[in-house]
Amino acid sequence: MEYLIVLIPMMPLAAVFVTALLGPRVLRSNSHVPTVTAAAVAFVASLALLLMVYWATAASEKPFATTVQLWNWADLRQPELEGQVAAPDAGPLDLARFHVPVTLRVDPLTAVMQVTVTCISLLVSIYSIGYMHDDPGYWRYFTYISLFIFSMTMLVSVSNFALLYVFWEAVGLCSYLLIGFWYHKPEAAAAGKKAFLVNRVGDFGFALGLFLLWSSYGTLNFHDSVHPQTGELISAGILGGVRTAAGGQGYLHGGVAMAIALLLFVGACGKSAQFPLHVWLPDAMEGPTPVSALIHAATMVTAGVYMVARCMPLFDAAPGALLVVGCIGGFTALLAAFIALTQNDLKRILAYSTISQLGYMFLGLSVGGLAGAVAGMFHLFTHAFFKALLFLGAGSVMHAMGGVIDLQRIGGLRRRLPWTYATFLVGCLALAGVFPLAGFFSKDEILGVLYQQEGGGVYRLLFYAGLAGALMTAFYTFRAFFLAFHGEELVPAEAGRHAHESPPVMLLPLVILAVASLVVGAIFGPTGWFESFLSKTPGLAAVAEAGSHAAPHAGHDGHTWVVAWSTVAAVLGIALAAILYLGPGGLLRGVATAARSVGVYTLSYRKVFIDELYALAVVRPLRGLAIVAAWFDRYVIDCLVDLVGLLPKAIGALLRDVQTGFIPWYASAMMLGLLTLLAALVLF
Amino acid sequence: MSTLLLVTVFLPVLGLPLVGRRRESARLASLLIVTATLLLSGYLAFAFPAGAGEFAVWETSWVGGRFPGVDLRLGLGLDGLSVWIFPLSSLLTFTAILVSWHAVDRGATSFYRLLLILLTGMLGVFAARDVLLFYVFFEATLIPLFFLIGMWGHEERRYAAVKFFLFTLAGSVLTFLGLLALAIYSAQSQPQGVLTFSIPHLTENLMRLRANGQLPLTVQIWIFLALFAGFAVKVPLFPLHTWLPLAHVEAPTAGSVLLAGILLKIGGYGFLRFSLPMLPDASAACAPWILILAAVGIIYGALTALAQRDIKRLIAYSSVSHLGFCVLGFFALNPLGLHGGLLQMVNHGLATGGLFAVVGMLYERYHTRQIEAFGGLARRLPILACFMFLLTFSSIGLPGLNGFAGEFLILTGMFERAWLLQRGELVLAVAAVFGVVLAAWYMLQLVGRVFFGELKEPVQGGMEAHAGLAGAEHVTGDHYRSQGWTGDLTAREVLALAPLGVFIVWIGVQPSFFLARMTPTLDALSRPATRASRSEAGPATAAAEAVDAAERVANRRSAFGRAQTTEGDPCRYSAGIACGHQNPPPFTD
Amino acid sequence: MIPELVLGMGAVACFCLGAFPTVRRASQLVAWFAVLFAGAVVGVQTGWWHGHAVSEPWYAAFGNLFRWMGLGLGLVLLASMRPGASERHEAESLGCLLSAILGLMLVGGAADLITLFLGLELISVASYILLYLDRDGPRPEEAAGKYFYLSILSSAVFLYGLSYLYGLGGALRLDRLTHAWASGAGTLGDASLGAMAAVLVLAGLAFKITAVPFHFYAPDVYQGTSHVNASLLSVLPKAAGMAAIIKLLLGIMVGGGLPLWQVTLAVAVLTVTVGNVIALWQTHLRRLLAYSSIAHAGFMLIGLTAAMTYRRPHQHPWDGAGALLFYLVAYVIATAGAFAALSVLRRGNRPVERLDDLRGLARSNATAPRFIAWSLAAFMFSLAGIPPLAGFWGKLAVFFSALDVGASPSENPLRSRLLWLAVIGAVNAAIGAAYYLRVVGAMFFTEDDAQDRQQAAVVATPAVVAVFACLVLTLAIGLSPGSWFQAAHSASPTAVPTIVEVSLDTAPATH
Repeated sequence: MEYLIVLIPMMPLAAVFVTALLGPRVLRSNSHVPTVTAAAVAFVASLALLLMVYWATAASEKPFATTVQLWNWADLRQPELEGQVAAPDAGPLDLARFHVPVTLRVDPLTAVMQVTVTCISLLVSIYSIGYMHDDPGYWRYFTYISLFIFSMTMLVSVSNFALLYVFWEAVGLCSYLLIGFWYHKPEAAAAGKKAFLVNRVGDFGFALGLFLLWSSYGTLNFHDSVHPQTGELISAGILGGVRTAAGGQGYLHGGVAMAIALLLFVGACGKSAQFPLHVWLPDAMEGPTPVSALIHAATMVTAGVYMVARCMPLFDAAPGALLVVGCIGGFTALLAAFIALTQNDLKRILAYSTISQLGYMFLGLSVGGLAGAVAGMFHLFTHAFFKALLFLGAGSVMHAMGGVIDLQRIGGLRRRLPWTYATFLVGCLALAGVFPLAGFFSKDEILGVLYQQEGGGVYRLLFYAGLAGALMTAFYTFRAFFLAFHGEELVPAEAGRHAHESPPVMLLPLVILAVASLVVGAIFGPTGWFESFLSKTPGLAAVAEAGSHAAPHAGHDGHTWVVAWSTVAAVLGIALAAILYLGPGGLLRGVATAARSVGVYTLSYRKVFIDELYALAVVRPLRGLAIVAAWFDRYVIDCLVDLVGLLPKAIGALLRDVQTGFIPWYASAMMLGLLTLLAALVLF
Repeated sequence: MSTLLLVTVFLPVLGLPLVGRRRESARLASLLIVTATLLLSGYLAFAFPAGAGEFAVWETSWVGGRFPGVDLRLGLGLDGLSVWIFPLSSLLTFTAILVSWHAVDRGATSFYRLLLILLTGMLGVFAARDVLLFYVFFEATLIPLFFLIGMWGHEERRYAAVKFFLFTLAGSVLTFLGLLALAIYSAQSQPQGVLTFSIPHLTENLMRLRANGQLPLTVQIWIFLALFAGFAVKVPLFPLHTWLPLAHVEAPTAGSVLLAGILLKIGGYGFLRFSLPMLPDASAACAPWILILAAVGIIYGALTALAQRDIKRLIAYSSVSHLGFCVLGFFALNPLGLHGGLLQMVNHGLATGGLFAVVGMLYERYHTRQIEAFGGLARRLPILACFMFLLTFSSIGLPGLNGFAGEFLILTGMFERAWLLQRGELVLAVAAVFGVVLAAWYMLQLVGRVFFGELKEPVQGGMEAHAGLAGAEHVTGDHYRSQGWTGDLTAREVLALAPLGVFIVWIGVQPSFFLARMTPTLDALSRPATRASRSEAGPATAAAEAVDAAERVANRRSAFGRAQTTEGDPCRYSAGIACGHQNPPPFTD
Repeated sequence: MIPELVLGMGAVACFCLGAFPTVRRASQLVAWFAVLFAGAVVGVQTGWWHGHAVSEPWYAAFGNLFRWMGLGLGLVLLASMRPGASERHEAESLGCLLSAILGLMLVGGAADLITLFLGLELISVASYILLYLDRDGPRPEEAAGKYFYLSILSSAVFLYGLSYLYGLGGALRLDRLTHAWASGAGTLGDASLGAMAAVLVLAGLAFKITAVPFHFYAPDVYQGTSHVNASLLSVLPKAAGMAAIIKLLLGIMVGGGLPLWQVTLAVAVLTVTVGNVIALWQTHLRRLLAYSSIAHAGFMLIGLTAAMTYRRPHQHPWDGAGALLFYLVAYVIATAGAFAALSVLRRGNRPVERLDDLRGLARSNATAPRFIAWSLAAFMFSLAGIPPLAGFWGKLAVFFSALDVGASPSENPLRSRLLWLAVIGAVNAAIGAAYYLRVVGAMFFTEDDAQDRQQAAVVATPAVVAVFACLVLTLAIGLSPGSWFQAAHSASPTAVPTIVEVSLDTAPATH
């Protein structure tokens, strides 16, 4: 197991080097080989790992985790702080040793994430062979992709907050590089920069959260560390067995806990594109479409969800923070869905849908405890498949249409692109949450836990928000679907005569993903496998045992009611879309005119003016401040410095006048000086 | 080892006669000499045993032999403070020589000789074990750089050189008085009144005085301020930084590389070498104010950088911001901050030194440094762009590269200080973290504009703009290739940058290797100041908290102990494949 | 006395030769021979190849120090005097030069007041003649006139002071005077008589060392005369004046219970500041160096002030008097070197006078101008006190002496003032660097302007060798100052420590 967890990230890392070194000269059009091989090996290894973990957990009731320490990233001792306990409630050990080992961990949560990540990575890599085949930066593309796979697999397997942060930013870097892959396009370059910067803002919070964690828990490790020789406990990791075994007592409560949780959540907001840091994700669609599928839909953006699930004990200690998570998640789900209603760019619709679905995941997480974590993670899991499918489908459309993805310029493609059409439909149904596809089960789980949460009115409100979101999701999904594939055939000029179905190398992943979207929900949802497996994660086991939350599935009162409502919402959304976009055009125009007249349409179409608001409220003031600072530096500080420098010269100018050149004056000055000295000495 | 250190420090100066009259032979000879120095200093650094306090100490009497009452030595040695900056000086000089290969035409002999003298000066500053020797090297580095800027610089080189020199000198004369005062005070603790200038002895004596209560806080603060004057200018700390952008912009590439990479470090090094260990109470007392200056400098430098149009100027202001981090780390006065600050000095040298080298390569090709003159160069100069990206990401503290290791430790240390001692300082910590965000903004904006977007290349032939000694002969001489040469990096240029890249990645991936060699010295030197700063923050509350905490810890420990024994081992923990145990095993103090 | 006699005879011989046009060229030979022979004799007498005689009394070492200094300066100045420039009076000039050097040596070795005064006047009179003879400077009459009148005035004041000294101490010999003063002669009857003596002596000597407000002549006279004369005026009277100050003030009067240090402190601050800030405005090289020489007098006075208040009980190179002497040596070498360097430069057929004349010197294609440029830069940096050059150690010693008093364990009223003195000195050191850098900048950082095609050129004379010698010394002292410190230390008056207590104890009473 230890070797597998090391092997999984090392394969793509090796691929990075091989591709970067050999790509431009040797491999050329075969540059995908290292990446695909590495992804395949990693995927197989992940599966093996999953099975091993599964057997290990199935055998026992205890939570399961194991760690591998590779080397010390940093190990500093602060003898001055020996015995100094930052937060007495927090744990047995102190700030005396700042120990950040490069440690990989294996537990159910990691195993699930590894499989998801490597699976999607493998499929997207294969798809990219076709999609990117004649791009001049072919080798560069696969280098970046390998780097991403490496970073992402590390992100989900490291056992330390500092290293989590490292790979948190490393995936951000890959995202930056891949969004800006076609760097000669100014929009792509700008989008990459925006993504990086917005993520940095999120990381700003995340970093502060880390510092607060360190200052209050005296460690950044997830796991407990023991002395290699004596086996004595050195420090109790934040998510380690000692602390989790102590239940709620092992964690800080109150304001500090709230601050930690919220700061970590700021980081999650940045990476998982939650309001108000969601603005980068739609722009990120400037990158190649497989990248959007892999990074900006299936894997990287879910890092925030993973992190919150991983840190569930910390969040659980601060119910207020969970509520904030829920509110942000719910609001984001609605906001993004609302914006998606009117967008014309297929990829942008999918991007907003991603934001919205991530909001769902946070909604699920906000319930807290094992139930919340499982709900969020399960949606993450299913969403990865169908959203990757949708993006790859959109890529397939784009491939055929010569890069055009504007829904006003394409249409009725179902005959030209039958495979794409079919798989895309599966994706849409899954996204809309139609039984028995993947999205149905996971979304249902989220709505279910929300409904059952005893937290009071707010959670009920969030439940309704979820329902409303489901309705809108179904609507915009099928609006896009109908516009693209149904109606009059409309092929843009850019497509030329190549408006044909994609090559098999691209279709194969589509089909696999479609199948997965069809079945994963049904396999893992109702059976409870997912939940029972994840509950063996130490951190989650702790919150499950803490028992402060209603155990899911314990009493399924009202669950059928939830199922019914969500199905109604989905069907209603699809039906509405069908009526408006497949039915007579007059109806659509009427609705659109009505929406325009009250400004709702514009509001949605212009993305609620959030970008403009940022420009006005953040970017411009800061730029202004920068100009002021530069001006201040040049004309105030520097001038002051020069002024100080001139001071002696000014004094000199005054004193110079004494030097008249007349001997009588010189002589009298000498005498005057003599008398002064004499007077000074004699009189005082 | 000791002799080796001596040889290393003076090798560049000994090699001066080898630098011949012709340009080709001059640069080749200086490259060989610097390479030899680099190898030697690298060998010394990597031979430095982890856990060692001092290494390769070489000492002889300088003046003192004739005066029994005076202990003035020519003393050289390496310790945890200098072990990495020392070889970095050679490394960046190596880079500096390679980037000057074609850029310096006229007066090449003088140029390379000055570089070699500068190298000895830099090596000497970091190896000196005697206060006066330190100061001699400290000031001696000014002269070659003064000439480098003034003779081979750009348009306003004369003004820049003079301002640089005077600004630094004005601060350092006060530092000089402070250093003398330290020596005079320390003589009081000696039974024979022996006046020692040896840094270790001085530290020891002053600590003895302090223990006897003979080093009152007011005296410490006065001396601290005197030292501060010079070091703060050198760092440079806001608002004493305005010489820096000017000097950077006007300096030739080699000058910028060394100025940013090494010479700015002398200020921070001075804080660590003198202020903290010798004046711990004053350091603790002044720390809050210096932290404010540092935090303001971080934000201010970043904002100012954001508004710059000249690439060099932008990077210069980024230095102001980054060195604010270093000072922030030092005056957080805890091991995390100190280690981070020291590491960050090395990191900044690598990243910013490299950035200036890259800008110099751009300038060599296009003769302009205006950001708006460029665009989409990643297509034209992919290898250069690659290095630029690496250096940029190092500079903005991308995890996995060296900048992150330093900044993370600094910020953790600062936050820890603020959290434990003075919650009001959290504002500074948060501001500093925000500086990291701003850093990403201005640097990515820079690389975005220069390397991304539509290809835009400046109009060729801006020879008039290329003033300095490379004037007349630049065109007629054996200037390489044509004027309009804009090819990608040559092997020479790659050689100049590649070593920096290696260390950028290495430090980022395994900072513990570098940190472990700093620890013993840093701990020893900073302990008094750390202690002082902890007692500074309200002894009453601290004591109460300590008692309170101790009780609760006791309770908690027993509770956890029970939890562990009764419930058995809830998880399996493997000690792991321990590949990297350079550090002594924990808790064997 | 043999060296002095040799020099004296050489001077007389030169004057005599001047009367015979056919053989006057031989005066060169005579002068060189006299100086070298005197040097050989001093060498034999002091046995310098055996190392320093540790047991010799301070005044012996003091005398030898000034002998060496005088002879060294003699060589430099001889080398700088270009044959042919003032051919008519060459022999007379050389004779005067020898007399002036003789004067310095006499002051250094003087054991009584008469010799001291004689030595000083020998320098003065020789200077008058040299200034009159000079036809190289732009306005020799003005220079000579100003110097003559003001110098006469100061000599009168000085002589008047000596008469008081003699009157109070009842002796002409310095050792007796010291003894008398230590036993209270200075405060005999009315304390103001002692003060009178001290101030008059100080004022008279302040002219020689160009201390404010007795400095006015220096810029005008330097500017009006030639490089060589300016060089002579900036080193010989200053060294002699300092020697006399040490002998009279530190050696005798500091023990009189007079708070002299307050006077010297005020004069030091004024001198160092005035010299530096006005120098910032100068574009004429000799005028600039004149102000520089004023400022350096101020730095030396810092050492003097420190020496008047306190002396470390342990053996130590940086007490005030030693610092002063060391500083003097470093200053003399750098200044003489700088003037020698300037004297070899020509632009067309006129000497280099202004900063602009130095433009692009370092960028010349010929080797010699570049060498001169680098040497001049080294002298400037040495004067600015930048390590590792001799001037740095001078500044170190001076500041240290002031701080050492300031930081001494016994709380005393001098403490804070001397601290501030050191700080003012340090700030002035930075200010001073500004104008030295302008000289360097002119040579190194500017191109020769296009209109003036006449490049600065070097006239090959022995002066180039002198420049080289000064350069070597500046560097050598900078790198290994130990023996020079020892020389300065062993030449500083030992009488002071017994006086410290008196000075410190009485200091509060004078407030």
